[in-house]
Amino acid sequence: MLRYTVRRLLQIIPVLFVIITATFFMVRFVPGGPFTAEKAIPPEILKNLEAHYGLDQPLWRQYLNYLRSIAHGDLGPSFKYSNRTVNEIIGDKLPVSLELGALSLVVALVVGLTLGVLAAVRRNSWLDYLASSIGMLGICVPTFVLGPLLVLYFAIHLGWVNASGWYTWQDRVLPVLTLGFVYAAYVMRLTRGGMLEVLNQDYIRTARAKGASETRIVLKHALRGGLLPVVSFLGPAIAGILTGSFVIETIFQIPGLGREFVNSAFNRDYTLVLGTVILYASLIVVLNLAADIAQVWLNPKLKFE
Amino acid sequence: MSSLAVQSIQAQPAETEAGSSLWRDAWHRLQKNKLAVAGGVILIVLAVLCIAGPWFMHVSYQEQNLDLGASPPGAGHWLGTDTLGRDLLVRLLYGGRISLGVGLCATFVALTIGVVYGAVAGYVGGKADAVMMRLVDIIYALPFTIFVILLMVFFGRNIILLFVAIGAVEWLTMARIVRGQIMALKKMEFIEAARSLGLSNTRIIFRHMIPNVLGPIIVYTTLTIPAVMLLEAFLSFLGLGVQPPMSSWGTLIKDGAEKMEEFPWLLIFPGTIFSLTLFSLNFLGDGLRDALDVRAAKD
Amino acid sequence: MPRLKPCLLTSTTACFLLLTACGRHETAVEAGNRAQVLHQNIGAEPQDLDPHLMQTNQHFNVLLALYEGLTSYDPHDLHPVPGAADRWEVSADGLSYTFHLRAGGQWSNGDPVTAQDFVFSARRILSPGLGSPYSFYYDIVRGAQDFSTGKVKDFATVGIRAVDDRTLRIELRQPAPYLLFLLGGFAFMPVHRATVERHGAFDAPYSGWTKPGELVGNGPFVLSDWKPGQEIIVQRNPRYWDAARVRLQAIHFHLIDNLDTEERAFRTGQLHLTEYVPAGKLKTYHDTQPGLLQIAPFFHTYFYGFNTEKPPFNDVRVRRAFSLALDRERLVASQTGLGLQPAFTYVPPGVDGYSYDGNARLRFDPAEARRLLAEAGYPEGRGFPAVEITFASNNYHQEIAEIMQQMWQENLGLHLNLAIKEGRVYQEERVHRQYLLARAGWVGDYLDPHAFLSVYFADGGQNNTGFANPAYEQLVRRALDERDHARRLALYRDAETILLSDLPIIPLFFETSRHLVQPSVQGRYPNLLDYHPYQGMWLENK
Repeated sequence: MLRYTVRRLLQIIPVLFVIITATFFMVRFVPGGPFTAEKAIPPEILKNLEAHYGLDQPLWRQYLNYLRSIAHGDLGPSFKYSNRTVNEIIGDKLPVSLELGALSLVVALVVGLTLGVLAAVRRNSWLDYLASSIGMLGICVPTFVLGPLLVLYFAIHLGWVNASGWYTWQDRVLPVLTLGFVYAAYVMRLTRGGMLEVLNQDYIRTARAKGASETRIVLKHALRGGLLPVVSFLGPAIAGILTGSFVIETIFQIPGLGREFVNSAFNRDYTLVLGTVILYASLIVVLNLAADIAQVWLNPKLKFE
Repeated sequence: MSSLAVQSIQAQPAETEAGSSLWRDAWHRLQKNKLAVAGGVILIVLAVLCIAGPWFMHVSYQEQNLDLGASPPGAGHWLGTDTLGRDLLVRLLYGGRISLGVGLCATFVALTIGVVYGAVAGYVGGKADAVMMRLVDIIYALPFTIFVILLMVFFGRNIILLFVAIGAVEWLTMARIVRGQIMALKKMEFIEAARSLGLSNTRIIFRHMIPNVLGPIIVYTTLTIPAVMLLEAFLSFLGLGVQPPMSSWGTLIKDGAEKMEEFPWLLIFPGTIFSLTLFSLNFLGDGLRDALDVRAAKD
Repeated sequence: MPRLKPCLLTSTTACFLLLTACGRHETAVEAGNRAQVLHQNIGAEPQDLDPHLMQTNQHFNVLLALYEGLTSYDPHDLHPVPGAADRWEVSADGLSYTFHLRAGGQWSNGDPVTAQDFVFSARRILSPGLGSPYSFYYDIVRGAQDFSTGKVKDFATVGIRAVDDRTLRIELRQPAPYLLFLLGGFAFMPVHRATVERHGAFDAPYSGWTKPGELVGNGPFVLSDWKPGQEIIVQRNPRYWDAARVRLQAIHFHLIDNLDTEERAFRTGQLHLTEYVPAGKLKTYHDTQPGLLQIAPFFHTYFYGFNTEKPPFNDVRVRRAFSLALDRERLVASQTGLGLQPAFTYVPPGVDGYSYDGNARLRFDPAEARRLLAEAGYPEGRGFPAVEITFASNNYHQEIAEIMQQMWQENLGLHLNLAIKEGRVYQEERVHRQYLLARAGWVGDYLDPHAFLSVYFADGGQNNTGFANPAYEQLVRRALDERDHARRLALYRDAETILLSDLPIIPLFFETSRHLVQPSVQGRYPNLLDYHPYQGMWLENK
């Protein structure tokens, strides 16, 4: 397993290289640049700005310069937030997104797994219908509807919390519930589906025939196999949830990184686009590796290849 | 997904193989599942309404009445009007054409790519699997907004791009899920047996393995469809997707969400029809899953 | 008995804590009213707080808190009042201004504000290396243009010099009646030399000298904190020359960029002042709480621009037909157009006594529109090429475009497609004229018709239509030289007649500034540019 992990971690390097290269050239071919604005900047001034950021050099040289600079851990200056570097922006905003994401993940897993397992075990009972309906509701109601609804009730009608911001613990409640609920719905649906597959497998019947207690069957045997699809889903999902959610961060005015993923593209903030992509790509690779390891751990028949 | 699945099920009995009885049994089991039947019926009714409904309406989706503006449901406009005084019912029906069309077709594209790719990667394993899955990682990480804008720069605006853009992102997780299932399945006795019988790999994958992982596939498909419908609204914001004054359910919901306090009907009706569709799809999907579950049937 | 007491106390405290945790707590606005702390939202985060590198007008109010130019603004109508200079003289030909800086003027670190500081600031913003987008404001200063474009390297040729520590002379190459107004704006705000140079070369852009703890200004407030994505906090500057008049202790500039989020934050008492009001909420506030809603004319024209170099819009008859087919009154009477003023002229009325009244005033006349279209070769719209209405993705622009589309369909029989573009793609296409018909708008930077009319000079960077008319430019230039007010306005009117007859653009309506304002905000007055000096503002429930 150690060899497998090391080998997979080494694969990060070529994967990142391809992603960085592709992204670097993609953002450059998109119309508009970091200095495109409603009020166009005079051409001679544009030239000076481009010279300041090294954008006047041939593209291949800019590319090599960029590779050299990230090799030293420097993601460069941001174009949009001009008195900050990309390293600083990520340093400022990633912790916020991590906090929001981790809390939401806890909500998603606790609610989603519990409801999913209950629904599968008590299949076609009222419990199943209730849990399934809650799950479907989470899928039908987009975050940009759920978030404002929660704010209207808890912040404006009841006055328990603020409508936006990220200052006190009370400010965490609504965003975490909103984001957590959506992922809980996914986890619930996938858990229920996965569990139903497994509950009919021969080895579960064998266990049942041997007189093992139902709780033991569910938690020890069924859950292992039933979690497979959830685990495959969670790899990329956790990467997404930890790097922030554009919609949630916008609705609740949270200074997280999620908005930078989208806004940096709109602002043509080349360095920030690349910085966030590198971060996200690293997370994706690591978490998919974790998911693959978890898969083997859940299914002892599998081996690390 | 639903109508396609039904079609393929109906098409199957023509074959004389053992598979035909499997499909026919499944079809019978599906018919017994009341919720699934209800879901299927609602979907068909909705689809017919969206396709045929506008022919019987006396107003068009773009006809404005600026003096009227947003008005609540009433005799003239059953579901009310939007801020430009356009009839919400007509806009919903037209929007349904777009959303159902895009939701089902794009999901089908993503589903096909994801299942085949994931199955092959999981079954073949080794170096090929490593390369294939790293490619998935790469596509996950590429900036989607930039990708979509570039697509439009090079190819202009057209409907095929919409499917390319949606297909490009939505198959990834499906591939990972299928791969995980296939890898587990590969170690099962009956697959080992099939292999020792000398069956071809293609046959093993498509005849014996994929049918056994239909459960997770169906569940994840029912999760993909709403995601695709809402993604369409985002693409429309980038200039791809539905062009105003035409609407889709996604754009109607987004629009309604911004005006939910003043003109709640602009959110309630699109939201309801969207949810109704998803619930129906889900029940139909669950029914299909059960119907196709051979082991459960033996009980 | 003695044991019961602490127990009782604890449980009461616990109950109270629970109640405060769950019940209505004191809001930021209520706390702010007590402590004279203003909570204002300014929308998107500013790029920087360097007045010479400002990109967006909307953040000017933050700069007004941090810096002060030679002149400042009267909060009611924005006429120039003494700022860092307490008096000045103008030569008879209007070309030479002498400013006397006030005695005891200080930077926020205690250094005296000197005439040399203003010379340094001018040299900095004009230096090609800095790349300031607003150096063109100095174009009226003798020699400034040659220096800023790098033709001349010697700053001594530029007409700005310090006569002594407290006397500054500015020489112009042509009279500019609006100079005193410009001097209060961001391009003319002074920066602190030692601070700038401690962070790099004097003309190094974005060197980081504007961070909290570093930034030194001469305005009524000093920067105390900048939480990215959350808020910028400024504190009262006790060294400001007029500090006695400044009653606000601090201002929190919130950075909420979503309109709906902003409005909800206002309703929960997190904000005194919003940057805007969502269109859907206008009517609600207007009907139920009109006291909180502040709508005022804004120096902003919303229009559609033509590409006059390509058919079909290279034909002035087609352009006129498009304008005549628009029912602007009906547009502003719709729910989308709530609070807007229909635009029958290009320059918004009410500036410096100017308001266009010539016979080229736009009007709604569908019959004449159809006649002109037929005359141009498209009877009933037949044979008209495919035209798209290009606009940047935004709900508001989209609704306007949908209304326009419908009006042209009804009144001209033309079906135009709508083309939503991602923001920068739209800007890029406009600049390179890869469009036929596009949404546009203009906000004047200073209160003079010149701010609008100079846009349509042939070499104007913001023209984007291909319009080029020497007679027009001649009139606008002559207006600047004209010392007689009435004659100057007459020249502007003649110029606007040319523009409205040729119609490279068709004005639709004049925008309004809209804010939600808590009743406790005092000393803040609506004005055309939406500039609000903070010196005379305070918080009090009356």
